Amino acid sequence: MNNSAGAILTAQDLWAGYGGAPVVRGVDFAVAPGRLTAILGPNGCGKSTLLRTLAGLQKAERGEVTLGGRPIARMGSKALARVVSVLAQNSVAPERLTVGDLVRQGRYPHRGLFSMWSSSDQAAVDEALEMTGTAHLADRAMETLSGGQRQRAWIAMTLAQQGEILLLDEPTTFLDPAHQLEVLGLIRALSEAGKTVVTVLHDLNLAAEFAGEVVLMREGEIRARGTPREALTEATLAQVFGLSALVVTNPETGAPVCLPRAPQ
Amino acid sequence: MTRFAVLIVVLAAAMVASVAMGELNLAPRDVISALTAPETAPPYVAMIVNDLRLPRAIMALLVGAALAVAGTATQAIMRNPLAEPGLIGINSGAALMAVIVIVETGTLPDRLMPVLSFAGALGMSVLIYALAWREGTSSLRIILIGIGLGALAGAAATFVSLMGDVAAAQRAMTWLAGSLQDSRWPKVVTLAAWSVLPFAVLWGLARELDLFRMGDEVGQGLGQNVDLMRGVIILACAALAGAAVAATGPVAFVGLAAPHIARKIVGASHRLLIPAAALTGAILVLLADIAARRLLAPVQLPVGVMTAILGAPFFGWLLWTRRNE
Repeated sequence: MNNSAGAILTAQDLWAGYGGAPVVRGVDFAVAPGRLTAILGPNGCGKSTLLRTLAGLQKAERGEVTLGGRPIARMGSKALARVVSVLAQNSVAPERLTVGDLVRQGRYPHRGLFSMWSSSDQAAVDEALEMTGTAHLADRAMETLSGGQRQRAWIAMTLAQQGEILLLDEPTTFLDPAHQLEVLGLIRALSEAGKTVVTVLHDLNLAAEFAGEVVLMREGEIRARGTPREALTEATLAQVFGLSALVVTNPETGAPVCLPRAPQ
Repeated sequence: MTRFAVLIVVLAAAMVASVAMGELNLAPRDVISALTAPETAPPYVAMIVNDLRLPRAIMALLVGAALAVAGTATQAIMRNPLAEPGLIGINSGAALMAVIVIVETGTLPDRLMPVLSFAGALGMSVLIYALAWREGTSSLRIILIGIGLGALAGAAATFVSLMGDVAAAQRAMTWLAGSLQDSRWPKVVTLAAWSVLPFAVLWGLARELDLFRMGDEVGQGLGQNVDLMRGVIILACAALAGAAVAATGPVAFVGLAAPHIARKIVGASHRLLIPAAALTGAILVLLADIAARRLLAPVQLPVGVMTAILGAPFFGWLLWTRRNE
C-alpha cells in the first residue's frame, strides 16, 4: 500500500543552492534502482545539496526532481516520505530519547493526524529494528550508544518508513574505521535486500569496496559515473579531486584501491 | 498512571490548602464540606470559600496549567530547554497593551483590559512569526526576532507609563508583577473558556511536538509540514499563555520550570507530557500563591514575585546541570 513499486527517482537539469551562486549546476541523474550508489567529490562540490534536493529537503532553483515520472514538488510531503527516506547529516536525537521511540517516529508519514498506533506500524518498527540489529537496544537512550549503534538506529528509523529509496548524507562521517565498516555493511545488506540506496561518502576506498555504482562530482556537476572500476581511475581522481594517485586492485575483493601520492 | 494519580492527589491537597489558608484559617474538613455541601457549612465559611478563595485557587490552577502547557510546546518547537512562552512575544505584547489600557483609563473602559492584552499577546506572536519568515521559518530566527521585538515593546510600555499619572503607573507596575488578587468568577470562566481549544489543539498535536524535538530536517524528511505545524502551534501557545497573562499579568518561570519537572516525572513523550505539565504548573502556581499570601502576612505579595523568587534558583540549577553542553 505504501510503495509505488519500481518508482525511479530522477533529476533533470537540476540547479539548486542557497540563494547565492548555485551549488548544483545542471545535473541529470537517474538513481539506479535496487543498487547502492555512492556520491563522491571534494568539499563544497554540491554532493550533499544534490542529495538533499533529491530528497525534497531543498527546493530546486531550476529543473526538477521526479519520482516515477511525477515532480516531487507537486507531491504531498507525506506521500513522498512513504517512498523516499532521507537521513540528514549529523542528526542529533533529543536527550533521553530511546532507540525504540526514535524508530517509531519513522511511522509518521503512514499515520493520519489522530490515527492510533496500528499493528502494521508495530510490525514495521520490529522489522526495522531486526534488520539493523538494534532490537536489543530498543529501550536504551540514544546518548548511551556507540557512534555505530547510533547511526544504525537512525537508519532503522528511515527503514520504518518502508520507502524503497534510501538517501543517506555522510552516514559514516565522525565514525572510527570499525564503525564505518559496521554501518556500510548494514547499508550494503539493505541494498542486497532490494532497497535502492544513494549515499554521500567521503572515503574513496570504502565507496569502491561497498558501492555498486559511484558518481563523482566537482563544482556542482557530475564528472564521472559507473562501477567503481570504471569511474575511479587515475585520470578521474586527478580531474575531480586534483589528486595524483595510484589505483591498484584489492587482491581479496577485486575492488579498486586508491593510493594518493603526497604532493612533491 | 500512578504518576498521574500522585500529581492529582498533590494538586487536590494544594487546592484545599490554598482555600483553607488565609487571614482566617479554616479546617480542611470545613473547606471540604463547604465545597461539597455548602448548605451544611456555616454561612460565613461557605461565603469565604466559594466567593473569595475558590475562584482564586481555580484561577491559580488555570494560569499554571496554561503557562506550563504553552511552555512545553514552546520548548519543543524551539528545541531549546530554556525557552518559555515569553519568547514568542506573549508577555511583551500583552504588557504593552495592558499598560496602554491602564494609563488611558480615562478613555478606555477597564473591562477591555483582558481582551486587549490577549490581542496584544496574539498580535505580537503573529508579528514575530511573520518577520521570521524567509521562505520558511527557523527557530533561531524566531528567538532572535522575539528578543528584539520584546525589548522594543518593553521600551514602548515604559514610555507609555511615563506619560501617564503616578497612580496609573503604579497600577501598571502591579499588573506587570502578575497577581491573583483580582480573581473573580467571571474572569475564571473567561480564562477557562479561552483555554479549552488551544489546550485541545496542543494535546492533539502531541505527535507533531514529539517530531519537532528531532529537528526540522528530520521532520521534513518524514513528511511533516514543518512551517504550517509550527505556525499552528505558536498560535495555540500564544492563545493559551496570552489568556493567562490577560487574566493575571505575567507570572514568571512557570512556563519554563513546569515542563522540566513534568519531563522528569513522565518522560518526554508529549501525549503524557502535556497533561503532566498542566498538573505540575497548576501545583506550582497554587503553592507559590500560598507562599505569597502567607510569607509576609498580612502583606500579600503578587504571585509573580513569588514564582520569580522560586524560579531564579531553578534557572541557575538548569544552567548548572547543563554547563557541559
